[in-house]
Amino acid sequence: MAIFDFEGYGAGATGGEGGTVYTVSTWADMKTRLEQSGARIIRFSGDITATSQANITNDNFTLEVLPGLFGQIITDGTLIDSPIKVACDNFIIRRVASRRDPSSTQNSTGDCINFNGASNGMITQCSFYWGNDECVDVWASSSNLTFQWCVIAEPLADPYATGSTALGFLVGNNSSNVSIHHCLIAHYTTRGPRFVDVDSCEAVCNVMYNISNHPGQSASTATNIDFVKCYKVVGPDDGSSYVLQVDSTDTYYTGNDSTDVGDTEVSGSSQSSEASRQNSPSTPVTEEATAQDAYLVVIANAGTGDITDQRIIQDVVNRTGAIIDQPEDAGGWDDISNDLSFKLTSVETTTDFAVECTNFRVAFYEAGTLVHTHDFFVRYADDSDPWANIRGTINRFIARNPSLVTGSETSSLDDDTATDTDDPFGYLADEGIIAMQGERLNQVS
Amino acid sequence: MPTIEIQIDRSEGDAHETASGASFTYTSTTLRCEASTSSTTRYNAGLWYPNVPIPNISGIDSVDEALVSVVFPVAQRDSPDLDWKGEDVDDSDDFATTADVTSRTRTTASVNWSGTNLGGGVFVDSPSLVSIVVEIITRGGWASGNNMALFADGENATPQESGCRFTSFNAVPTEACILTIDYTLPAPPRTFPIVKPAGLPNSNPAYLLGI
Repeated sequence: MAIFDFEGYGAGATGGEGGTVYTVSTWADMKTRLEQSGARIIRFSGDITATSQANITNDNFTLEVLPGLFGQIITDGTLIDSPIKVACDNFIIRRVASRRDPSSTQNSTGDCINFNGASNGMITQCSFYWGNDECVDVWASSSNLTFQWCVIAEPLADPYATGSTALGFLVGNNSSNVSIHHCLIAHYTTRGPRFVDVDSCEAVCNVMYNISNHPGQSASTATNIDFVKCYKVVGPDDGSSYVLQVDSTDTYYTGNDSTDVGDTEVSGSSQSSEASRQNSPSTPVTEEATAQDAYLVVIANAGTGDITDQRIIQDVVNRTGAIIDQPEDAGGWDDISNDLSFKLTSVETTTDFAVECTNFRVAFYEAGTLVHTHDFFVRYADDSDPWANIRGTINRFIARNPSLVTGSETSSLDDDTATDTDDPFGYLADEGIIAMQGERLNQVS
Repeated sequence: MPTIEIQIDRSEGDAHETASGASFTYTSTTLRCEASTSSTTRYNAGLWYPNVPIPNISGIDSVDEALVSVVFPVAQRDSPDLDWKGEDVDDSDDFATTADVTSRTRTTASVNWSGTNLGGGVFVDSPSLVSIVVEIITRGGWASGNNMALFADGENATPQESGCRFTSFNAVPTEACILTIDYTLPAPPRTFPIVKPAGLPNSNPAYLLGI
């Protein structure tokens, strides 16, 4: 299996395959396309601000960010509900970030994304931050879902100064057949994930960072649960001495580990593991050799690759960051329109991404086909315009290697201050020649 | 084939001096590297790049390209007639630590650059300086992370057109000279083993990153 191939219970999802493709730039348009009937693929990039909830009841959709770009859905402070509620069958959500603004009205339903009776879905390489309640909520008999290679981080602890929450990821209310694998869940009090009132769910090779209470949980009402090779990384707010809280007598756990050698694998009222795996989806989840190996591949590959995810990954590696009350406590929304289309990996040796980057890789695409990848080390004199810096590097590289570009149009990346056909990411779809896309280093083959 | 790109990022990173050893400065807004038949008006420019992460020649397969991208100040002196050389030492000093351009030891390798009216205000690439870079990193004392200095020595000749100057860091940091090196590493192993050394705690991040 290649690294992002669909695995687990949601692997069979085909989403909007074969349907109409829509590229949207406003919430109104996105919501309309998400909610309409018929097979459909909805693509976007940049920031889209949700002012109401998209309640998706019609089957067969794909929501994804345009190739080579980044995109995030944010809320405007008036939205109480989750911006996206999925209540349909057969869907794919890929490379999408949903990062909430805590509502101006106190509420308990403000997840980043909510699955309510959803079925046959694949959620891959996504990013969910700053939920008022959980960041991700799977509820109401949802079934056959996979969450893979996602970053779930910084659920808000106490946005209204009424008491602590900071809940990560909840799967409950008669849901079943849910796979959560190779995800990073960071800076939370509990639920990373929590399985309650569910059947046949698995958490495999996830990384859980900086948890003040329970890292992963199976409640007494959960049946046929697997926790396999998940890795707890101790952070500044660590408050547990174990990796898993197991209250279900029907849980299998093995190979779960912690950076703290004093931590036990489990705690809870029922600590006896079942003898073998309880779940066997038709496309099984790839297991790494150990929980530590899972850590390696997750920090190198989980999430959208945008600057916000990079910050969290740096937190994990450096054991920094904190459970927060407001997005602003962690710097708030990054302007991803200024994100650079590359992914830093050697984060310990990078002092300032805008000035010095160690090991970033640029993938060159022509007509959607990968034609070349190249690794750079760069150090610039000035960090006032990082995109200008990196654009210069890429343009100079292209100039030295004209054979990379076989089209008849210009081969240079464009300035980011011009029109929409001359977009800020240097994505030259308008010229049909070449695109930049973040590429992951340190992939373990 | 990784690429290294390093831009001069400090005042003491570039300097000039006459061929006769006068008028040294690292605070000028232009770097003079002008040809002249007189050593008192012929200039040598020095460019200093710290912490260059290219291994010794023994640790790489090849240097595929090396060049310096410079910006000629707009509407003046964009006609180089000079020789590129390197400082033939293991680890170069910046121009504040060692206030000298002209007397520093040069590499044997030298690359001539001659052109007229190449255009101001945009980066222009030098000829290939591979031979110079190879000579430096072939030194027994060269190691990744050492500092490298290059020189643009004005020719002992009548200047072409209105001569040649580079924009310095002090003038416009974003237009300071950029050193680019493309090189090829030996083929890496397909995978790396993750072996926990005995006694090393799980919390050691270096182990977890496989470094």
